[in-house]
Amino acid sequence: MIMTVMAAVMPVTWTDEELVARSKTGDTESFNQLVKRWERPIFALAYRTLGREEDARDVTQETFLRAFRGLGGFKGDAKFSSWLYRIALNLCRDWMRKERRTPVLAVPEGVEVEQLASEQGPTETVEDLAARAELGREVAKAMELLPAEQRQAIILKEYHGLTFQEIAELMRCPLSTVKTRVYQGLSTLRKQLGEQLAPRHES
Amino acid sequence: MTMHIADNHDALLDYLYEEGDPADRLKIAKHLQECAECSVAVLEFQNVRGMLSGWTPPLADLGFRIVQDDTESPGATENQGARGGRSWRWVPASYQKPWLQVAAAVLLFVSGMAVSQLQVDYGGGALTLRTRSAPTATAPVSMRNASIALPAATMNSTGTNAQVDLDALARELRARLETQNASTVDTERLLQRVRAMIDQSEQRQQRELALRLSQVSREVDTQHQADLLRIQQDVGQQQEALEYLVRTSGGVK
Repeated sequence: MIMTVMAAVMPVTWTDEELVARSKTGDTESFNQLVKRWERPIFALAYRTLGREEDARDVTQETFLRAFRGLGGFKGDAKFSSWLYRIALNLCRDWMRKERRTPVLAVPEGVEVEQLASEQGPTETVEDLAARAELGREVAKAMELLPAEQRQAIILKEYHGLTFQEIAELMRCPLSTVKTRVYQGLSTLRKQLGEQLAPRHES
Repeated sequence: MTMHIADNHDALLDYLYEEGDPADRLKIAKHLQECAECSVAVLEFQNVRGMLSGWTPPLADLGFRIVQDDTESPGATENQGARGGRSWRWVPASYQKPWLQVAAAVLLFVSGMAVSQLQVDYGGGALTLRTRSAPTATAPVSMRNASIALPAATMNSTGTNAQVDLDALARELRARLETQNASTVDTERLLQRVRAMIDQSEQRQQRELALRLSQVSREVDTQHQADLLRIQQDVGQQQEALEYLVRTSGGVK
């Protein structure tokens, strides 16, 4: 009884593994906690891979739906997040194949000055926000030029903080291949962004 | 392992992302103080990483949820099933509109009342609900001091006015549920948004800090190289002076 009351009063932070175990017993609220914890990173991954907010939302939803359906088959050999990332990456790849088109990254939707203003730092002026929105567009354009494998490796490394080894396991390729992809991708970006941004910075 | 990382991509990436052996990274850091080519390569890659931080995804309204439900839901037929002996349904954010939840709750409530042929009596300051199917076996549910205030016109105890009472009750419940659900969902969304904003702000600050550190490091390196150059020039001048002295002193002898 005391434990029940304490559990109701004190917020309990379960680990992913604990929530997965509880979800497997049919506790949907535990799974919803996992969704809440991971929906933003999965959405960000899908958005940066596909380039459209609406497609990224669909992929995010489908990722969690597949995860919930396949939870019984998840043995816990890898981290739950890695498992989610793999599902999401496979869905993104399928989406690109099905649509027979390359990601639309040239004009990122929604990331405009108005939106950035909502996450504005205390010292950022409107000019800073505009510059950041412009920078985001330039980066998106430069990323568009990369081959899909290089782009995904950089996204996982740069925005999701995965180790090279984790990326290798996710992408099912050798560690050296991942490093080559990241290096080549960053080298291309260095040229692209250097050319695009240098004149502006000089002025 | 060669410390000249401008030509060693593995080592360069390990240094950039702080992976690999810390002792190797320390050696690379020392090498960078002496090798301009490697320093330039590292700084350029760090600049690229700083630029990448400017690409942020939109703050989409997500909020997907799994709910346990035995009933059919329009638009969700593909996203339901059974697992662990329980049925479930996937509810995208668009299906979590407060008014939909309120409407479903009120509909369920009114249907239940109609099925059970409920009698609503009010007398002696208490609201009494009684089912017609089992008038003697079921004890009346007393809601004395209930916070739901019914209109005065519906306060008679005849069964013919039950429907009017039910409508008023349903209206009142609908209004209260709307208020409660809307505020709960709004608060949850607001909290999610604030959390996301805090996370992004922290990430941005970390990246900006890394950028500033790299700038400071670059300035220190530049200064260091300038100092080295000046020292070399001074040493050269001193050597020339020394040689001149040696020559002139030899000439004197």
